[in-house]
Amino acid sequence: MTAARLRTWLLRAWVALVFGFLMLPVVVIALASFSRTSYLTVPPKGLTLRWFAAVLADPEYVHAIVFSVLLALGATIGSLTAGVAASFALIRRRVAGGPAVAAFLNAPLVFPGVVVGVALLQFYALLHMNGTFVGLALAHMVITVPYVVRAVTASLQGADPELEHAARVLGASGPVAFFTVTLPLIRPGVAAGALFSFIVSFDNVPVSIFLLGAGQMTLPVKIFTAIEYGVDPSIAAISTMLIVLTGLGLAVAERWLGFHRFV
Amino acid sequence: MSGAAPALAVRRLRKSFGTVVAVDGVSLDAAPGEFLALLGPSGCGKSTLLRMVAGLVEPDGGEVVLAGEDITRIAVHQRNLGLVFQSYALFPHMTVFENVAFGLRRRSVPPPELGPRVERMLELVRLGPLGARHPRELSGGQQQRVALARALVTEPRVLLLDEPLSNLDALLREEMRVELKRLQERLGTTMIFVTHDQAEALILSDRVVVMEAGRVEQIGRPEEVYRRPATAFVARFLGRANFLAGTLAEIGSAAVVALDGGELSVVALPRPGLERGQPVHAVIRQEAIRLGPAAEAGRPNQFAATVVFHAFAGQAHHYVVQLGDGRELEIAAPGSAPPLARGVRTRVEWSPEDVILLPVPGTPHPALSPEGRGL
Amino acid sequence: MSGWRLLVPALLLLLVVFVAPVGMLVPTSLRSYVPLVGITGGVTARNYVRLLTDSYYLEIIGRTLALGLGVTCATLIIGYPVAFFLARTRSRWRNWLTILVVFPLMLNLVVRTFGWIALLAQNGLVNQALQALGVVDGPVKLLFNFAGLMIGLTHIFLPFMVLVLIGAIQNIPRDVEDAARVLGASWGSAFLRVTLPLSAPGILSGSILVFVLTISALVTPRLLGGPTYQVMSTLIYDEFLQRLNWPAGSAQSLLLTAMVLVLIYLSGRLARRTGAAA
Repeated sequence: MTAARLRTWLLRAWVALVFGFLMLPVVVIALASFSRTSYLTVPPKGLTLRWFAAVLADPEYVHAIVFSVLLALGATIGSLTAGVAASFALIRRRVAGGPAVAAFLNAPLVFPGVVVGVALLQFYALLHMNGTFVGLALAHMVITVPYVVRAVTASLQGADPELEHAARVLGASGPVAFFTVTLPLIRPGVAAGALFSFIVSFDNVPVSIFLLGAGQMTLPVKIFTAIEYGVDPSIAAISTMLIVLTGLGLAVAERWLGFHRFV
Repeated sequence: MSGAAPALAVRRLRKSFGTVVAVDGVSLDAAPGEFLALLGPSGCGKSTLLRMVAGLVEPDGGEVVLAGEDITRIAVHQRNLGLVFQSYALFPHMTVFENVAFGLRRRSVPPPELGPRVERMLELVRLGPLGARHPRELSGGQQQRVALARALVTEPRVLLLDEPLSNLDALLREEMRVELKRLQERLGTTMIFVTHDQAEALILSDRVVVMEAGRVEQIGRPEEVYRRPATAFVARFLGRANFLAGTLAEIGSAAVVALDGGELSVVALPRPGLERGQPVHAVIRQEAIRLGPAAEAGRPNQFAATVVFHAFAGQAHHYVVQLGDGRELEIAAPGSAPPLARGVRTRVEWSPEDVILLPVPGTPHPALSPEGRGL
Repeated sequence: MSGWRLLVPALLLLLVVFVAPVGMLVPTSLRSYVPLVGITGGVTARNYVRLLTDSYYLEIIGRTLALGLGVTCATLIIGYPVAFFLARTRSRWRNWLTILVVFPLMLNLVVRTFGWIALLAQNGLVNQALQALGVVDGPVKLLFNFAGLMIGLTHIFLPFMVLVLIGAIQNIPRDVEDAARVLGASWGSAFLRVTLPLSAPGILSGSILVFVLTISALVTPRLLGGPTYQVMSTLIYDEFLQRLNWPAGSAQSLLLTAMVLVLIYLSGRLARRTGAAA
């Protein structure tokens, strides 16, 4: 039995190493954001919170954060509407070529984001829609809808269709049955889809960077361009804040939704 | 226990998962060529016990001894046992032939010998022409037979079967029981068979091990565990029975149980180990009670009864009757007899030999059968 | 409500805001660009020809594909044991460990890559550690080259591979491995003959996914490779926003798209064939 024990411990050691590898950049950034020096150094020399204060006081950063949030909200609401309807159609209704449609809806997941970005740059230029919020939101919806469809589909497949039938026999019309019976049943999937959608939109660079107009800026694009000019701890500070927020959000999602089922 | 060395023995085998004790110091033997059934409800530890014998679960204590050799520390793949899984566990990416050949290949059986051996085994389980198919192309019954063939082709010293028939429908299950018995008689392999189906255990096995909550309740031949159950659990698990509570009033040439309520008494054969005044259950199986007008006066265990329920089930009539003191008895009468309607007053009668005397649970009872409780 | 009506919003969205714009890159790719003037009319295949013959472009394409291959192999080798552990472990931390694997995925890509800049720089942590351990004498160049991109991209896409593999390994019935062991296979033999073949579909789809994502990556190669060490996506980025040569950029975009589509199609064919044998 010792061979088996050795295997178990070796496997555990490997897993621990890999998790360490995965967390390494995160830890580094978090540490660097407290450094007293005005250049990035790890381990940090001295501890200060001034970079956090600087970022939160910088109107450009604040604007970028607000804009990113609004954009992500808009894209999420839109893709939830389209995505939930599409999932429902694929799982609960017989659609000719269902698998092909599902594959099509999944396409933006693997499609190069940069191509979507430049294609829309040109497309919006022709329609004089450059730099519009709606244009940006629609572009984001394209890349977030697949996440919603996947998450909601997962929930729908686990929900018994007979419950909806029971509601209809009891007198509920189609839409009423959906909203009162099915939707509550798939709430975890919808919530997970919304979370994915928000995060994917908020974090996006390849599509946003081509479509931002004058006076518009998203947080990741701002950080991206800031890094290109040179790194300093304020970038680390905003990054750390994002890390903490994401971590909290994920922890809450796991606690309330059993989020691991949807990944 | 027979004189020859057992094909397989486990001694004081123990296993806990966290705070749950799955197997609590179980010891038992299987004689060479014997068909031994491990019978019990879900969660009684029978599957865990089997997996410890196979080596898939490491025991917390105790030994597994195969033909006199202690194999407790030997790795799974070196034990040369056979195991048929409840889910069959056929390799989906291999053909039927390759599935059956797998064990032989691991033993480096050379090709000239391997092919014919696999073919012979497939013939034996009547799957001859299906060697090139994949498991998913086969029916449940056929998959089952592949699992059997795969486990038997390596000529294991003992074949373990973990509820192999429970995924089959009733008709198929009966057919497979016959197949299994036929195979066993043909090959003479010692088989240890886990099931929760008591009819199956009684039909197939040479001896039955009744388990509950990680412990052995009784080991014995099918008639023994059925007719002379050692505990109330065994009595209830092996078939439907009526439990009449009372006190042992007399012990002599016959045992007399005064039933609670004071009105009625039951006559049974005397059993050792019970004392006068001890609270007991007089247990009578449903089919042991005869219903109808009295044959001869003076026979013991005759009572007036009123029919309160009747249902016809083909092979049997199911009745519930009420005795003078309000007690109800469940009776299974032969289906060929004319039915008795509700409300009819009649008599019930049973022989003293058919009364099983059991102490009230909580008080231990000495062995009723020679093998006893396997201690 | 019928299925098709429910699908209309999503389908309409994708057709109008996704398929149509990408389709319109085709005519653009066949035009010419004159600096300071703009896009001229007239159809020409010059952009494609240059793309496929000029050594500058070929080097970038080759580098992109090599990265794809390298990252795929790395994530597969590093990730399979982790996926195996997470799929099979009975630990009560299993769900949280899965979330821990997902956490980097949810984290902003820019932030993650930024971390690697700090780690891989000349005076970054990795170099400090290597020199402290005596493995190297001077700082090793880990940024703006293939090594840096390999490390960064492996880190970014490792969770994808792990998640796909977990799904595949979970689909293997547990008993099948036990059966192999009882039949006489050592642990290694059972793994090679049963577990690995049965996880092949997952290995395939994970590999295709990581490969496609790697060759499409923009942010990480840009930040870790700098403006001079290019891959296809950063080339397209510069072509559109710096050199303003939309026709050339469109041609490059369509080439990248074609590569991705071919890979997806091939994987579909392969999946059906291995699926049939499984």
